[in-house]
Amino acid sequence: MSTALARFLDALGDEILLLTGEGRVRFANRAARELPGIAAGVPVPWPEILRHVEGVAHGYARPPITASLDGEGGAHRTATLLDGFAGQDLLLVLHDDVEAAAYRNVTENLFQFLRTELHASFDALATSAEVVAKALPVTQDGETLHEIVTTARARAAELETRLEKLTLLGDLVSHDRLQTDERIVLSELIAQAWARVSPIAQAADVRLSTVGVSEALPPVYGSDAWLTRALAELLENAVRASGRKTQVEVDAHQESRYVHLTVRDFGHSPVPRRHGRAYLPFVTALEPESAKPPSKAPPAPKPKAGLGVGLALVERVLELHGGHLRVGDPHDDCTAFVMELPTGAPHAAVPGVQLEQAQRYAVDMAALLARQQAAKAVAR
Amino acid sequence: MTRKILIVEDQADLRKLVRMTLEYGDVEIHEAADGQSGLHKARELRPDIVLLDVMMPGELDGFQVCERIKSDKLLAGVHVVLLTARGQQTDLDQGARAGCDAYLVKPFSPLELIDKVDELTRRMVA
Repeated sequence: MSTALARFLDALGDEILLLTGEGRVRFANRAARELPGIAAGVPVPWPEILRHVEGVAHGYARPPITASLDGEGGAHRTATLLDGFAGQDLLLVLHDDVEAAAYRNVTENLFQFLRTELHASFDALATSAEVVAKALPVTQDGETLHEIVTTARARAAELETRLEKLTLLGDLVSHDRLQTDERIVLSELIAQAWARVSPIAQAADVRLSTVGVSEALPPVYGSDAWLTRALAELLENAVRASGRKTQVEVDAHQESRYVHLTVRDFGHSPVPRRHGRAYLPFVTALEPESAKPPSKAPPAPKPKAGLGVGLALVERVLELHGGHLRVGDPHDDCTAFVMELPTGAPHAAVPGVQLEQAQRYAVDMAALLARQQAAKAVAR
Repeated sequence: MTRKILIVEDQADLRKLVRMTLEYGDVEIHEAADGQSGLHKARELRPDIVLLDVMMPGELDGFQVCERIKSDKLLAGVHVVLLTARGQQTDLDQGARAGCDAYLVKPFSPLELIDKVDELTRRMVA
């Protein structure tokens, strides 16, 4: 095995073992070397895995094979046996389910805390500040105080919005798939999403222009509310990044079994080299102040860096629809984010006739057969 | 009179069930597993009736296939029955806009299916 591949495997969190055709350890990555009983040249310590290895060797089974391994202290791992890199070798990947579940629980608890403990407080703060701002007389003396309260109200509302995004992201963490099958026409989706951002777009005098948006585009299936939220997030970012009296462009077209919705702005581009991290929660795509080259030109107004939750939210929504978010080809004059969504309805998770349909047939089967026989008799 | 029926449905087992239900008497049944191939077969075979699932993966869903069949002059007279999973009013409205002749809400009874096909056959003869 090459040093580069060994380093790559060492960097992974899951335990990975390269086994000979007899189930002996040929290589174990850093995580796997910490497991008891793992040493080069000795058989793996799990009889069930050895049975599967033997089955593969004799041609009774073929990788990929998945098995559950229960260990000491409630440890539980999902083991996946795959074809190795060469010859009869096999690759064994162990995923610690308990650790993953614990991480998921902690994350869910955090988001629950944010939702229940903080959201109401910020909401109350924003409402109170609004009431105070309205109640204060705008006099020569009171003007400063009025401004302070108005600013406080705006900050509270901003915090509330950011918290809402965080809790939305939290809602999506525990989903494997959004169980909705609404038929979504893309022209309507774009109109709905633009309507959500129209207050800030109007304030900045930013217009929407569309390319390729027509009824001929195939529909997508999923959650109308979540996809509208995701597209609105991209549009809002684009509007905020655009200068006054500019435009945001949405380009829609079909690529095989996907539709691509490209949102372009012609304003302050996030620095492309940071794009790859932009989908991670709490990472912002905007370049830090100190990293920018000095310029003699007067500084343009900069968009404020957010928490970095928005793109993570969009990415998660798209993932749950079987799609992706990616950065469009970089250009000097614009920034583009592309939403890729599969066309048509999702493939059935379990192939075969749905239970309700099978039951409906079972109920009417006798009557069906009788009717078919009667029809045949008439035909004779 | 031989009835020519095209079943467009992505679930193979349901296609078999529908075929089994209708395959008696003078009938010729064809199948397609997605919207694109369903439309292609409709143009090629010019069936009397198309049983069309609404929610299908791929580039065309049932509503779009129905619209294209109904707007194709060469397929005038082809009857379309939509097989819809929900039966919500918006779906029914969408089906009506697409020009469907009838619809069945899943899970549908095989007897309903036969009745619907017979009714459309009578309309064709009339």
